[in-house]
Amino acid sequence: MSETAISVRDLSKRFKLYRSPWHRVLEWITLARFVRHETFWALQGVSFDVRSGECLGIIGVNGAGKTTLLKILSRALYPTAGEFAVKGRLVSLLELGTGFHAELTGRQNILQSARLLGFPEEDVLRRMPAILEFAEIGEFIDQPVKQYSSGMFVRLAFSLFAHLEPDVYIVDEALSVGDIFFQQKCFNKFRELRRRGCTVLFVSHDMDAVTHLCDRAILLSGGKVVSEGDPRSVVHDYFALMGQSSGAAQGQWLPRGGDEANESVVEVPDAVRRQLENGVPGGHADVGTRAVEIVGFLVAGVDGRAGWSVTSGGTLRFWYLVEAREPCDDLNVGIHLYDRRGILVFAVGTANRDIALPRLAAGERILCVIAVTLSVQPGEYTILPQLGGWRGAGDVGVVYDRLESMPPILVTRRLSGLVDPFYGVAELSTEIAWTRRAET
Amino acid sequence: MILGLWRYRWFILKNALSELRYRYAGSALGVLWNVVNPLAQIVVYTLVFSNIMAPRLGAGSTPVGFTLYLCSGIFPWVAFSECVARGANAFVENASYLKKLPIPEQVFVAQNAVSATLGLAISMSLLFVLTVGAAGGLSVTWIGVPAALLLFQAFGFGIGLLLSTLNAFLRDVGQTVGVGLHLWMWATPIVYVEDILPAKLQVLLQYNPAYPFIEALHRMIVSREWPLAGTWVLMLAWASAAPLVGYLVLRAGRVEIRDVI
Repeated sequence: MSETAISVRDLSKRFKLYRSPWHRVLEWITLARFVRHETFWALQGVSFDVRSGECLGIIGVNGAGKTTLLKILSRALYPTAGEFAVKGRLVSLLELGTGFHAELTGRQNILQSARLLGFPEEDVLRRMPAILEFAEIGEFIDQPVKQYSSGMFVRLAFSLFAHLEPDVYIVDEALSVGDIFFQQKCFNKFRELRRRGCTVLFVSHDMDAVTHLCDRAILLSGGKVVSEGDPRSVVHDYFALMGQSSGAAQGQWLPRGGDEANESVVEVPDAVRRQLENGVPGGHADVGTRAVEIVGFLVAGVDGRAGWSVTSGGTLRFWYLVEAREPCDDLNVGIHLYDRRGILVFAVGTANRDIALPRLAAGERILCVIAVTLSVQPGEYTILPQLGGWRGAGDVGVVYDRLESMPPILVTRRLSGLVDPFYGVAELSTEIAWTRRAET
Repeated sequence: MILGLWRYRWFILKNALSELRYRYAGSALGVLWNVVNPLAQIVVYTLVFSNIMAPRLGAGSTPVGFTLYLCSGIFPWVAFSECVARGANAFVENASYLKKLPIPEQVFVAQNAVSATLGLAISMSLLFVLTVGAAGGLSVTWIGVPAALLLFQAFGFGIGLLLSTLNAFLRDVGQTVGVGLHLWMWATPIVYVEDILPAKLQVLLQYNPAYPFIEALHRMIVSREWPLAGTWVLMLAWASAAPLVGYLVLRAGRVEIRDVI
């Protein structure tokens, strides 16, 4: 049983937004009887634990509260409510380089930063050779850092960071700076640290890295933990959220609800109708409000026969039977497709295509089909059918219903001659032409 | 507060020292400027006041005597006002550190205070040499000078701490400090002798918190007498009350300071 390295309980952070600094003074003078500020909760009741030696991924869209959370954990900000405990020393890559003084040399800056972080000087002096070797800065180390390239700057910062050996690391996007070779070196160092039993908080927009490096992940949205657990499933949720927010946030898509002329003529094979009545494969995810529900879902080929496998370049039809539990006029029916690494390959919904679905009364049903041509690399893919609404809290919209734990879609190799028709993740629309008349 | 300062003592000291070192970075004389500047001041005061002003001030002042009077007030005042003025801006100036690092806020105010005190130590040492050399030998009352200076600086640190918190929320505070310090300096007998004030104003001096410090220094350096016990008590009171109030205000505002800078 491993012990807890970080425990966070009901952590909240409120920012007070004043339109004028004098409003704050007014509040002071009147002992807060006049309230003249608006509040913004960057974090609301965030709780989680990190076991010693564990790597926790923290993901979320920009503004979800990730940075605020990290700053509180590294004690650069004070929380408004709640408590947290970090066992041992914590170093955050957020901080590195901020302590660097442009006029000081690399060597002086290493010592200065260590002092800033409250590390004893002897420790750093002892580790100096290793730090210098890792940073690969050469004789520049005794030059002022203002003469460094940005790459050198980051290398020095990361090197110092990696060699301080605290108990808890906070690693953020900074890991993805520098050239590819240094990046690989950083990742190797990172793995080595993990092997040594360091606890790590990993914050990244690189979902591939999160799925591969982390033991667990949490998803922040609007300052709250909306998903927690296995990195793959949390990453799924992240993309679902992203898919939701992208169209809705910018207000590009406003449904013309109830526009019957908009209805496309769909021929529904009887076999499909029958099978849709059988309910859904997998199960409903917990996240949905279920105001509108997927009551039937079917994956079928163009011939209408159910099937979860397709040749690369072939088309699959995703059939939805949707029933409204409550009246709804902002319905967005969509599908997400992830590859085996958890990377979102493709997601599309009615909102993306500016298709306005009719206003639904409670109890009303519609049938919807999304046909996708899977011009992707052969392999297994997972799908995530979802009903969303753009009128949700904040800019992320609302999830009505989502299906999960479904069998994977198998995309098989398309044989055309001796070689594969394309290499890479997906086939892009291509035209190739040639002529003998090379001279003009 | 003390614990936070203690943990970062090396940071404070090194930064204060390197500030002295780098303030004149790039100049040929470098560190020497820290000595040349107060020296030049002493020379200028001696020339100007001994020959032009001194006759008007009367009171049997010798040229060197008035320089001594002037410098024993001006040098501490300059260091004190540096504590206050730079202290007031300490949080705003160091926002980039405060927003990212777990450094206790008061560290930055202390750093300014220490660096001002180091500068003060240099200029007062020069003044000490001047007294021994030109103003007729050593007086035992010099022993009390460092104590008075440290108390004065502690007082300045306290005010700086208080203002730095207020300034984080209301930047106008920082702007007001310069004006305020200027007025305060002229309300304190530093450049002039207190005897030239009308009697009514002399009574008001008792309410000027900087007055006991300057008065004690004048006594020990110029008149070679020990300050009254009451003066020491006042100095001690101000030097402990200011940091305490500063700390209490900082503690009240601490949660939000880093949000607003």
